[in-house]
Amino acid sequence: MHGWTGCVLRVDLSTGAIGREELNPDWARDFVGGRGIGARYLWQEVDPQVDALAPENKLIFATGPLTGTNASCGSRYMVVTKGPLTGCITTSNSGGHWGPELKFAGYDLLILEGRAERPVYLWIFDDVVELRPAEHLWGTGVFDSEDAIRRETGIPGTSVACIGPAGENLVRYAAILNDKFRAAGRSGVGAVMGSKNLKGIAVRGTGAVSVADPSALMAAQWAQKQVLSEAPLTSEGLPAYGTLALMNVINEHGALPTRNYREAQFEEAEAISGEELAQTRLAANKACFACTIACGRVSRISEEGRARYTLNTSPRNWKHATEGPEYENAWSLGADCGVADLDAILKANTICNDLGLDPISLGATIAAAMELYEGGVLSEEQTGMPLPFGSGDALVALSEATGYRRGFGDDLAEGSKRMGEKYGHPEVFMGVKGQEFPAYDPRALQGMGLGYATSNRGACHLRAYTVAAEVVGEPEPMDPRATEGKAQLAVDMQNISTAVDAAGLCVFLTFGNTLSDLTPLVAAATGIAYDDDALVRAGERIWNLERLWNLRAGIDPSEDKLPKRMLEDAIPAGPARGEVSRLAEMLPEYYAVRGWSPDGRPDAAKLAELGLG
Amino acid sequence: MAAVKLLGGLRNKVGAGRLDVDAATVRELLDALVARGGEALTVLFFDDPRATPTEPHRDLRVLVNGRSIAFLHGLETGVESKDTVTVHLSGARGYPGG
Repeated sequence: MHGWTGCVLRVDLSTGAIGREELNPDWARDFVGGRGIGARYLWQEVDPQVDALAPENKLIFATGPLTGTNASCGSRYMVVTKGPLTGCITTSNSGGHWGPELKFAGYDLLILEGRAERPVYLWIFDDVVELRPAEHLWGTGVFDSEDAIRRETGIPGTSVACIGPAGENLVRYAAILNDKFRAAGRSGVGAVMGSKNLKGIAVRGTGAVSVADPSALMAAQWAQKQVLSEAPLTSEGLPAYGTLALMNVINEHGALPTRNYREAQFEEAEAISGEELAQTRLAANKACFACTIACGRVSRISEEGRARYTLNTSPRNWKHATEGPEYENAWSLGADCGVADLDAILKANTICNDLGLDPISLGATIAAAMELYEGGVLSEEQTGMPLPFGSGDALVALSEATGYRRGFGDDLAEGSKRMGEKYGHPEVFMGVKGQEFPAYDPRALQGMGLGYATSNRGACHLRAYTVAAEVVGEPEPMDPRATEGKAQLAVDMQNISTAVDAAGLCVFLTFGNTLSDLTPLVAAATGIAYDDDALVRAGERIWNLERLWNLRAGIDPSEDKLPKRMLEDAIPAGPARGEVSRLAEMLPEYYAVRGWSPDGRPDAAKLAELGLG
Repeated sequence: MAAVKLLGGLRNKVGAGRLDVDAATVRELLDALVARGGEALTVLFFDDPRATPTEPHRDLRVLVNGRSIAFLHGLETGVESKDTVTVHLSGARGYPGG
């Protein structure tokens, strides 16, 4: 095989058995890789009704055919499993260098099953694969754990993916971190890893990715990079400001959720914006493997902030430097909590990386708790501290408490849906299917509401980023307050983003590249004559398989919904004042465009058309 | 005087993040920014072979009170003294759907 290594590495943590098997070539062709091939194996091997934290759930790390090639942004691996936050199929991806190293070691997929009796980590060095004791690392943060594992392997260039205390403590939105600051962040994949007593996976490969047509791949990647270097957003905007450039833009549109989605503009957005970070705290850019965009931020706590915050980085607090924040994190830890202190956000974001937490769900859950506190539902005695909106001190303290499940952090570790239900106020949960919303108000951007509601992994901005049309204006401006055309837009974006995920690419490249720039890369790497339609069809096939998995897991189509606040409480002020989500206008059309039944189920004809019958 | 907010790289190009501009239309407002920031801005604001007399450069985004001029009257959108006008560059070429 080309593009793919053709080899699956399977590790039974219960028995310690390690095996290799041939990658199913038909599945590889039809589901491409990454999110697609991972979902296909999960469909085959895991009962969707399994307890997400039981040994019977499996944890799949899947690369794509372009992972580890010289295609720009070909750094991604996808973690596929059943998520403990949502009960849905979970597909959470990360960049950095870990995915390419797995390919260089000779594996497309790593399937982990069972549960180790004691904490272990997995060491993969080409054909050498072994489980090693990790009891000495249990309870240790990501930064120190990565350093320790790398030292123990003794091999330069080793990349480590691991969990922090949050994953060990089964925080429902625990993340898996690799290369210290790159995260498979959402839906609790880190908790699944923790449930298996697996602390980390260190990998170093000395091979290379075999490609079918090296000359064609060189030509295609050169053309791809040329486009990225000429598109102002990928050549100037993202390198200069990172994704945090969106903070002011979304705020100006009146679509920045503030104080647990009770408002849609944050009066202090400028203080936590990409412009502010670049001017006062940015030290350098950072790129993932083979990336020519380099949107990653290396940032420093400000002079004033250094008196308050010591970073738990490794080496400890080195030059007061850390990484991030991304836009979504700065929003969840900032505007959503009413926090305008960029240093507090940097500190909390660093805690999230070290303890292994998803900052989106963490910040949103703290925001929900702040609403309960200000409403008199939660007392200071219960929370352990004053918890008003805007408190950076509470944000930092509770970020740490959540990772360790200390005090009120134990409630926060369950996510805002369960936390709200526990205290009798489920209405404070702002999300879908148990997962918290990201940083775009679906009342101001109608397409995002549809994308959130229909996302297969719970609320997610990356599945149908209608912001591209509604705010950025590509491929053409679409009125953010209109519902017309949004169903087709959401379906198109879902299918193509899924194909990008499956190929092993970062979805950010789609701000420069179109699908037609990417198809030649996949074809040249694999030797299979994919065209645009074939990749779109693969994306649709994967989307439908994920939907089927969720239906079998008991996630009813009636869960394709938004919170009452989004449907009935109009935005109180700002440019989108008076708007509510009109999801009901879009959802029937969405099902029709998908070719599903009116009640949201893929029928036999659709499944047969996609080869899923 | 309309309150103008500049975002991202435009701040350096114009030399300010916020300023007040006296203009009756978005076109006049952009002309005023060119007068302040230099002729180079003309290329960013107007000089595009696809532009028509009523459309700005494809990479330019202008909001009047949070509403894109793409859904108002383009460059001829009226500006009043109480308005807030946000100007920034986009510059995407692809999108996650095509």
